[in-house]
Amino acid sequence: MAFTEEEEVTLTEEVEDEEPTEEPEEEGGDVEEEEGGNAEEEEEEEEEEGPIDPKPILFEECGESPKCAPLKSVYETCNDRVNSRSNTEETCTQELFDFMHCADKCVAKTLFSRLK
Amino acid sequence: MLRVEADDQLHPPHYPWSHDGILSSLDHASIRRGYQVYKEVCSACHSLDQIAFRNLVGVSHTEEEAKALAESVNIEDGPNEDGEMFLRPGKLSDYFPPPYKNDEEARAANNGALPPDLSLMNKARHGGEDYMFSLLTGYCDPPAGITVREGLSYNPYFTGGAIGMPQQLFDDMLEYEDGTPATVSQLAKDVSVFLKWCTEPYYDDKKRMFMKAFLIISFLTGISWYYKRHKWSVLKTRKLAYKPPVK
Repeated sequence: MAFTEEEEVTLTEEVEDEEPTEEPEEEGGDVEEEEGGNAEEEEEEEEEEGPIDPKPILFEECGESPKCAPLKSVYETCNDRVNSRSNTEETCTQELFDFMHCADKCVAKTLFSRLK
Repeated sequence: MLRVEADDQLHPPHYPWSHDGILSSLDHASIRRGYQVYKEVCSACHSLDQIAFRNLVGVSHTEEEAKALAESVNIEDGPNEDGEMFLRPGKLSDYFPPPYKNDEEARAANNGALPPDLSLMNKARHGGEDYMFSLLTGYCDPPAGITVREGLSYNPYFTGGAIGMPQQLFDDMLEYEDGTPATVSQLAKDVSVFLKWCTEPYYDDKKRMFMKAFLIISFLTGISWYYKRHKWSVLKTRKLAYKPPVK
């Protein structure tokens, strides 16, 4: 179950590489949205602009995956809770670790296939 | 202070390294790129004192290339006939020159933090190359409630979270000679593979020896099994029969 969900993540990423502007991505889409032209032009532009690190993009997507999204919201809730109080001993380290542990696992599956 | 302690550090995930397989060698193109990363980035602060230029020959560089690399650094040698130390161009047999003369100088230059020698770093930290890759790419904002002292950076993979080394790798900070896009992940991957090789220069030999030993030993085991069965066949197939004397 979980496996297929992460496979989907992979697929969307690959599709986005070839024909961008289909879904607005927060980080990966930045460069591509600015151009707005056809796919070939954008690919050339991308080469000129320098390489884009695949890890933050994957991490972002993995954070949205059904498996990790709950942990992410727990982390964000914790952040808001702690930041809203002036005097608290609580930290969100464990929440961050739980979320990142999940997202890391998902990133590790596909990251190296995008590197040389 | 009373607080619920979180784990000390975040454990790195396992990445599918190309040298993971039982018979897989290290990626030598990656070692060569990783050397470049070490030389241009890490070596400003980290020594690598177990590796000599000659070690690169046949691994990541040709002999001529390694000689040229060695000659590009000055090594202190001596004493000469006047009893004085002097500088000379490096030779293949020289070890990589350290960035600082001693630990005290290294601490003084780095805000009190000592950049560790990287020669055996792969074995010196849990997780090995997974840890190094995660650490180098894992800098992020500290979670709420954690303040990092000035001069330190937050990295969830580092024990305690506060690390003296700020983020070092950035997209496109150097140009690979083979044209590989120099993204942060790529740089981190290559330098992790390079340091894996530094820790275990015998890594590929180890795998080859395993294959040879496995083949030869299994062949010999087969032979001795057959030989034993063969020699014992007479004994094992004999029949003991009791024939009562006929009255």
